[in-house]
Amino acid sequence: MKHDQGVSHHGVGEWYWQRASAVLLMFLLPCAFYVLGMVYAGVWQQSDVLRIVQMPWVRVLHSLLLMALLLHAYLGIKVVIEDYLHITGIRVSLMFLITSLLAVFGIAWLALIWGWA
Amino acid sequence: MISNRQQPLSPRLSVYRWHLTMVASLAHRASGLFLIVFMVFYFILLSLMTGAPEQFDLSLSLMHSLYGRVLLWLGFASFVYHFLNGIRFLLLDAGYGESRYAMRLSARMVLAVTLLMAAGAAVALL
Repeated sequence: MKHDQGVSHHGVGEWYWQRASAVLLMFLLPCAFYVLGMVYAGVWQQSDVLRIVQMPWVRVLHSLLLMALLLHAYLGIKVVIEDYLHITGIRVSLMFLITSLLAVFGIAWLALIWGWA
Repeated sequence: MISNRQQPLSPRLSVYRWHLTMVASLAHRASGLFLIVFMVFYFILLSLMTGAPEQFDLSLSLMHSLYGRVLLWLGFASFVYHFLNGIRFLLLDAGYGESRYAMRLSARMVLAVTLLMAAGAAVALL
């Protein structure tokens, strides 16, 4: 019979996903800052922003960026909480609260991306 | 569950003498946490920028206000640091630059480039 490892080795998966999402963000997140910079500097008007974010492939990459961002943020917060908060009850409730907030936030953002006419 | 209150828990901020690679790691966490705050600001800006025309104007005045510019600057600086140090961490994971000397040198390089970019952004924004 296979030895039951319980929750051990879960960390390997989280270690991997933290880095996989990091690689994706390395390429996609600079685009988000570029958009902000162009609008801030007045180079892009609203019509330029709308034309770009409404392109089908931009919506797909935008959604991918959002999911990588939320996964990366979730894993990052989890590591920090696990390192600095040592009371299990507080740790678990805080992670529950943060995960719920991230989920609601993600749904709102996805609705925004796919809602543009 | 093994319960032993005497077991060392990481990272013992009060135990170790502060050193550069530790600062680099802590700054990675701090910038990451701030980027989560910035993500919320970005979402608000994005919904305004793609909303009604007067909302687009509101997003511009928000970004150009003092608080807006400070947030943008902090967000940009955090992003640059987290980006560069993230690459440093990925290279360390892949087995490059693991010697004590290389780790200190790369941490210095990341900090130097971040300071340079942040100074440039400060001139442009503030």
